[in-house]
Amino acid sequence: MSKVYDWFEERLEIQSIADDITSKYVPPHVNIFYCFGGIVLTCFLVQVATGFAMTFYYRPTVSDAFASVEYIMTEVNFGWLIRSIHRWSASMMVLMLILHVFRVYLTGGFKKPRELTWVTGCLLGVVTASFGVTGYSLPWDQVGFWACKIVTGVPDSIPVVGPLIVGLLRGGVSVGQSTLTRFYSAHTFVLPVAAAALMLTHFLMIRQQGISGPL
Amino acid sequence: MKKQFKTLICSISAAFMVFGNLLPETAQAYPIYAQQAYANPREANGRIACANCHLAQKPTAIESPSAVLPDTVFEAIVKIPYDVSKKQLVASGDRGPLNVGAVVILPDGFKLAPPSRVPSEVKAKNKGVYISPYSSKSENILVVGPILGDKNREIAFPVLSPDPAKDPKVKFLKYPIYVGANRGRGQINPNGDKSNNNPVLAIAPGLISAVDQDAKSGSTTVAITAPDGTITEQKISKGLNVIAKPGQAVTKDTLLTTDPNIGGFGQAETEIVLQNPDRIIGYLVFCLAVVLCQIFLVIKKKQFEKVQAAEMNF
Repeated sequence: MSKVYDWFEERLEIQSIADDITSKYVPPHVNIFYCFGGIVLTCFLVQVATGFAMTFYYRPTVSDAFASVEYIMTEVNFGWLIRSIHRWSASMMVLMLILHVFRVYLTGGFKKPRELTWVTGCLLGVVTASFGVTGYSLPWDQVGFWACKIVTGVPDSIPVVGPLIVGLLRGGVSVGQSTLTRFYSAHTFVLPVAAAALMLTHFLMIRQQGISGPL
Repeated sequence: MKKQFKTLICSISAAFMVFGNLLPETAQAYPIYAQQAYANPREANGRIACANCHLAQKPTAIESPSAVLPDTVFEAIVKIPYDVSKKQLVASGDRGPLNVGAVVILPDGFKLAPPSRVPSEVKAKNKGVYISPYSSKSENILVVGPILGDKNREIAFPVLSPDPAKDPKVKFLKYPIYVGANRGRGQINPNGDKSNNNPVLAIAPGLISAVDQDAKSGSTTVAITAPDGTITEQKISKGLNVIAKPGQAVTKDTLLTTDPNIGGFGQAETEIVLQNPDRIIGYLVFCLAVVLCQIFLVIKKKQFEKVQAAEMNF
């Protein structure tokens, strides 16, 4: 064991990383409400794991999407559990995110010098909401389809660029296969990458500045 | 020309008199017409067939458990609210109480509970309510009615849930339940004609020259004189409240009577989960494990804090 440790220590100086981690103490004013951010991250990790599992069976076509979700729920071993966890954890993630925003706001955690952490947090909130919107439509059931139709139609009221944005979201004038493809791509590729990048900056800044001080 | 028209009117009214007497009997069995005409009462666009003849829209609600275990009897309660003080126009032209009827479209595999498994209090509540499957092929669709509405504004359907262990086609899943319920008579007969439960509209434009009520039959004849002098006579059957007045100018489709209809049809839908009891037990075990983990974590933390405090006292 120590040989392996030495091998890594020689090359990567892992002792300094370990020292850095163990040297950080939780300040006494931190209470249970400071857990919300970590719970959001935990929910995200659950979403990544269960979502990844579901990509094995989900088919993003208008004719197959609903049937494949039904297949996951009825035939796949523990598919019902994986998908149900994905669904509930998604709601839990949004709930915890809102509570985290409240905690940060009420304890003044957004003030100087942590403005950038707040901004990346807001962007992460937008990404999370986008995850929710795109994921809601993926089963292509009645509620999913109509939610998709309504949500992608919202930017239409923006002057000049509105119709362009709607076309960009839908991949055409009306909601159809191209919309589902776009939503699937966003839900499983674009948004996870964006979330990962934003989380990295969010956490590095927290690491750098430490937890905000007491009230 | 005028004479021909009169004979036509006479023959039509004669036909009315003959068939009018037959209508009350047939009026008691209208869901059967839907059963004869539609293999599936719910069309692809979600409309239930009753709405094809019961044109007015009125509220309907369904109350059912959000989840059921397999092979269990539960109640789906259909609510058909209406004002019982009101009387409707019956086919003979008299006034009578409203009848109600309902159709409940359950998920495949769900069916009417056999009498031996229905609890006695539900049986007592459902006395005189005969619920039957829609057809021999669709046991999951239940029909009731027409039954007297005053006592049956809430109809309890005893339903037996399927067991996926016995029927591999049934899965543990969330399913939709669709319900349609009606109160009062319809506006269209199965042959496509209008029933008398409709307002009468003027068939020609002009000036109303006469409104004569026949004391014996109770029907009313409205004569409309067109600008070119042609007189059109329009017969209004008994029981309708005539609002046309002599001297009134009418266009085509002006209301000659008030709308006699006080009933209507409504649709509702809800969802039900066919729940696997093993999943409930699994969830409870998981919750227990989480609670125990948390308790042990707190205990360990308290112990650690004691050790820390003891070491600091040196």
